[in-house]
Parts: sequence; C-alpha cells; structure tokens
Amino acid sequence: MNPVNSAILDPTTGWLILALFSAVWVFLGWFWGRKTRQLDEFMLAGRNVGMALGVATAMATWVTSNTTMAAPQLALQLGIWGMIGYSLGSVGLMLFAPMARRIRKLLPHGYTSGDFIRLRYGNLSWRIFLVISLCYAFGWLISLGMAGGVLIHALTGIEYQLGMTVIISICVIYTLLGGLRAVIGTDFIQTILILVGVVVLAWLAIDKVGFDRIHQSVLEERPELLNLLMPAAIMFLFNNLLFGIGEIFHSNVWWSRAFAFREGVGFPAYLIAGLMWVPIPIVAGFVALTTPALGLNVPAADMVGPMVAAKLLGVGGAILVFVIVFSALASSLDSLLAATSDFITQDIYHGHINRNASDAHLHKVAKIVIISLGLMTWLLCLPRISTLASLLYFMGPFVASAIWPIVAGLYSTKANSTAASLAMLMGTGLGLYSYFAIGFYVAALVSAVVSMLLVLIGMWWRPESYDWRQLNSRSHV
Amino acid sequence: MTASLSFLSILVGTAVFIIAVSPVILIILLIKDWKGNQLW
Repeated sequence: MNPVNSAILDPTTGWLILALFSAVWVFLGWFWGRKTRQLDEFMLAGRNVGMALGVATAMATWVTSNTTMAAPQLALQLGIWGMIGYSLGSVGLMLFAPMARRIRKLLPHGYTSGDFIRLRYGNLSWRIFLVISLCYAFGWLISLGMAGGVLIHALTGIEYQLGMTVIISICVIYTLLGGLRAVIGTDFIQTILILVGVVVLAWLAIDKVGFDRIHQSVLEERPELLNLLMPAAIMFLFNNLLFGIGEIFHSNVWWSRAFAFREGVGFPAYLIAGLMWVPIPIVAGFVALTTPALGLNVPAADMVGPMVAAKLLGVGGAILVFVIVFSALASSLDSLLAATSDFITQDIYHGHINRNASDAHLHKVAKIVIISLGLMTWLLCLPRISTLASLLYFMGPFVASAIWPIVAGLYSTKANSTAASLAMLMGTGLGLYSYFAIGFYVAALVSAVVSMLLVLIGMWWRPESYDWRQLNSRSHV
Repeated sequence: MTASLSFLSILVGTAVFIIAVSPVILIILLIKDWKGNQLW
C-alpha cells in the first residue's frame, strides 16, 4: 500500500498544522528565553518551577509517541492486560516522587544524575553510568525522531525525511532559544492538548459505538483479548514495570526536573503526574478495541488511533490525532534534548575535558551540544533503519541495572561503590544474555534482580559509612 | 452483563473521567501559582 495514498490528511493540511505549531513553539521558546543569562536559568529554569508547570512537564514528557501509538498496538495483541500493563509505566513516575524530594534536599546545587553517581560512588561507577545513560538517551532520541517522521508521513503523506527534519528542527530551535523554561512552558500547553484530544476521542468512541457493541464485536472476533488471565500479558506487565522504573530512576530527564522544581514541589508534582498518566494508555488501548466494531482493517498498529478518529469524526478527527501525536512527540523530544545536553555539558565536557570552565562558558557549550545532538539525531534517523528504531527496547537491561545502585545510594549510607559498579555491569551483562537466550520480556527483570543482589551483598559484606554532606559540598565538578 | 464487559466499562469509564478532570486541575494549579507569583 502506498502510504501517501492511504494518508488520512492531505499534505497541505499537514504542512499548515506543522507551520502553525512550529511558529507558536518557536515564538514561545524565544519569549521565555529572552531574559535567560545564567546557566541555572538555562539548564534548570532558575530552580524555581511551581506546581502546575511541574506536574504538566512530568506528565507530558512521559506521554511519548509510544504511549499514544504503542498502547493501541498492545491492546490489540494482549487485550485488557496489555492496556493495564502499559499503564503501569506510571509506577516509575510515582515512585520517583519521594526520590525527587530527597534529590532536591541532598543535592541543592546539583545539575545531573551523573553528579550524584560521581559524588556518591566515585569515578568508576560514574563512567559506567555515563555509558548507560548516553546509550539510553540516544536510543530514545532516535526512536522519537524516527517516530516523528513515520507518523507525519502516515498521517499526512509528507515525506518521512521532511517530517522528521521539521520535528527535530523545531524542538532544537525552541530548546536552544529558551532552555528548560521553554521546554517546561511548552510542555504545559502540550499536556492540555494531549488530555483534551484523548478525552474527545474516547468520548466519541463511547458515544458513537458504545461499550456493548465494542465488547460484543471483540468477543466474536478476538475473544482472547478479553481474557483477564492471559499469561503472556501478565509476563509483559512485570517487565514493562521494571523497564519504566529503570528509565525514570536513572535518566537525567527526570533528575533535571527534580533539581529545577521549587522546594516542596517535586514530591506532589511527580505523584500527581503519575496519577494523571495512568489512564492515557488505557484509553488509547480502548480506542483500538473499537476497530472490530467499526469494521476497520488497520494496515499498521500505528494507524489505529488516526483511523478510528477519521471514521468517527472525519477529517476533524484525523487533525485531532495529528495534534495529539505532534504534542506527545515534541514534549518528549525537547525534554530529552535539554536533559541530554545538560548531561553531556556537565558530565562529559565539564567533568572530563574542561574542569575549570566558567558558568558562562558552559552556557555556550550547552547550546552547541543541543545543536550537535539535534544534528546527530537527524543524521541517524535519515536512513530510516528500522533496527535503530527498536534500539530503545534493547535498553531495558541497561536501565534496570541502575535502579538499585541509585535507590541504595540515595537512601543508605552503607551502599558500596564497588558493588554499585559491579551491579551495573553484571546486571546489564546478564540482562542482555537473557534477552537473547530467553526473550525480551525477562531482560529487565533479570538485570534488576542481579543488580539488587550485588548491591545488597555489597552493603552487607563491605558497608560504607557515607557522609551525606559530601553531596552538598562538592556538587560542582 | 458479563464480567469482562463490566470490567471494561468501569476501567475505561474511570480512565476517561480522570483524563477529563486533569486539564481542569492543571489550569486551577496554574492560576493559583500565577496569583501567588510562583509559576517559575
């Protein structure tokens, strides 16, 4: 099937929407960034972000193109448990809530998750952690960039390369102009667009098709999807839970927000964001379950949402889905660009290349890094190699291995540096082995268990007596 | 009404309700932060 001919919107409408959103985001990026002079303002929005923007940015960043597009796919593969399993991704956000409060308290001058690992465990663990974090960040950047191109193409017929170039360029420009303040400000608007769009879509499905008809059609055509004891789905549920926790606990995307939120905001902001996120994959999955009742033959799982919307609401519905997807993509891509730039600037440049760099110099470096990241992501996305798009799923064992070193390091003075390094290395190694030997659904689980055992053995065998004040006094490199 | 239909209706109904009230909560929080000069 030619995707251009099967696209729901015509390219002109697609370009108009892209142009409108691009102009708004770039203007807001400039507006919010026009007075930014200090490094703290650029990287961490002045460390004074309030509750409303805090909740919205945590929520929007975690709603990626995967949430709106992969959840329908999982609902059609694993049924009700697929929807619930995906929604467990929110557990990571909620568990990070108390950690965000502790991070803010222990490292009031911190910039990145790397700062914590370096100060808590020393250089070896820090460098292992840098590799894990950077691999994950690139995996996520590439998956978002490629998803942008693919979805814009599928929805509007605009060439993959053009769509991908536009979305990466726009996010780079406004992040560059406004730093984290632009990212957080646009995240608020994007959150409102996503929430309103999803609720309209769900309401249409319930109102125009109805629970009874949807249930009856699924029961006749795909009864296994309504089985509440589907074993494969329950296995997926646990793996997804640990993958999500690993992603959030280690990634600087979430740490940079913990540093950026005003004191007292981190805990409630992450908790509320997690609660608001839970229903999104459930509703996105439910929309997919309407396809048998609507008699839709979906060519690709990515197209479930747009096709249902177009069937129920015509072109308006397709535009609605385009806006939701564009918002979901931009809100994650901008956050990742900003957080990865902070990470490279502080942990690689400042930590390894120029230890005496001033804040003004680091501010310039951060901007160069944002442009370079955008360029590198664009180059890697250009050939549209499908294996690169699935790189993120391969990262489960990497990120899960960092869960226990981070939790133990934040809450116990006994956590041992050597054990933390070994936990990350062995957890990743054995997790990857199980990925190939058994299957993707156990990789994060094996990694987290191995890492946990090594951290606990280290604490019992050679307990350290860490002084928390070291985190406060030596936060800067 | 079968168990799966009840479960699906309650699950999705609750999810839609939470999503519908979320923007309202966010806007109330925004106005509160704005008035208290605590936006960022």
